[in-house]
Amino acid sequence: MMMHGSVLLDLPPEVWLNILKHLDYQDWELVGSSAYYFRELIRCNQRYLFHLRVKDAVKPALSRKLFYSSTPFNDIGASQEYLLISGKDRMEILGRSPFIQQIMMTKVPGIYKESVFNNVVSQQLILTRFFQNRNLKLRLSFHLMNRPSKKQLVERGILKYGNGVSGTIHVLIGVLKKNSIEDMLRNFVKSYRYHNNLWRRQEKGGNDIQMIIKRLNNSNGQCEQTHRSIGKVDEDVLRSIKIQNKRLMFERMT
Amino acid sequence: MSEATVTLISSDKQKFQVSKKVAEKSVLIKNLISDMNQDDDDDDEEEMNIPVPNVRAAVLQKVIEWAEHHKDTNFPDVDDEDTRKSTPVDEWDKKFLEVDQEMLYEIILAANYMNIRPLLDAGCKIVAEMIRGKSPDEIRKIFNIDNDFTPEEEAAIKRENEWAEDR
Repeated sequence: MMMHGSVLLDLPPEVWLNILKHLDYQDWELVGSSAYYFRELIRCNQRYLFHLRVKDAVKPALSRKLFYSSTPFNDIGASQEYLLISGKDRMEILGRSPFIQQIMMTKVPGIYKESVFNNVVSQQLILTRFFQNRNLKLRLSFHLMNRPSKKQLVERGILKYGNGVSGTIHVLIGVLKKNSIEDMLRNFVKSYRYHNNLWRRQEKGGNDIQMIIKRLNNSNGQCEQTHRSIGKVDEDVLRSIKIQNKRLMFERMT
Repeated sequence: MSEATVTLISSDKQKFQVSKKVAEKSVLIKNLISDMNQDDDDDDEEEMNIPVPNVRAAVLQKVIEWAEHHKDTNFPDVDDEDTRKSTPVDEWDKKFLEVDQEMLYEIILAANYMNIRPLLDAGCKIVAEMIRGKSPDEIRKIFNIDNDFTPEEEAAIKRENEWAEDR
């Protein structure tokens, strides 16, 4: 039996569950003793603190009106742990995956199935539909992009870890480490440019970062597919993507 | 016509006379009153004595104080988890629950036993706020709980959360 000097642990499990619900641990079911809940709280605590810290780190960046406030595209990314939504006027990080699942269950009835949620493709499908339902433009984040490998990003000091977290988390960790979305993006884009050879022509005028983001959005075949699928695509943009892709293929072949 | 009253009897046999409306903030007592009224066929208004065996007088008094204050409050639907969760703790409740930890837990336990959902939620939210944003060590200190993780378990948790730590 756990030794303690507090009556907190003497509260019945259903009361503990209620306390945890107010801490966003709403996925937990009534399966254990209060001591069990406390141990699990401690176990999850570190990630939860991280979640709060990420939120704190991102908000100041938003206030600096970086590309998230000016790009016409909304951006989402998901990992096992977090869902990130960024849009014209907001960016939110939603916590641990059961919390995300809870949202999916609430907001997308009929689509959610736990068995498929952990499958990345299904997850993205769910997220796509989630945003389609809200009639938002969508880009499936860095998941679908021909990005430099995680290892390369770690080597460049952009990311802290190479495994176990998704592209979105890489971005966020980059934010935390560099404390600047702009810095992190510039590095990211340099890598992207290097690998894709699409960035030779420097656009004159306009915001460099905005331009780069526009290119990121438009230079990937899968993204094109996504835009087409939700009927938001600009035909001129599509035509230029096709030309660019053909040129790229030609360059690779030669 | 005078307001109907009931007498609540704490575990230490103290009696508290309260209006029926106040007493019925507790779903447990509301159901008891309803059952007693059904069993009682004659129309005579008998004095109702309702024992509350799990709650001592000092705590019952606090619970009654809360119920008196909220006797005209309409609380959100108890089945609506989202609304209950997102509703902030009422300022009066916050002040009311500024008590030592032992009393706080006893109020929570009483609210749980007597099935007074809004009071239970308010108490749980106060405890949750004491936990929010704190490190495990801080949480243990606040609640006076010994660390019972073995070094191996500590190491495993650290490994699990390594990616989220500052380096």
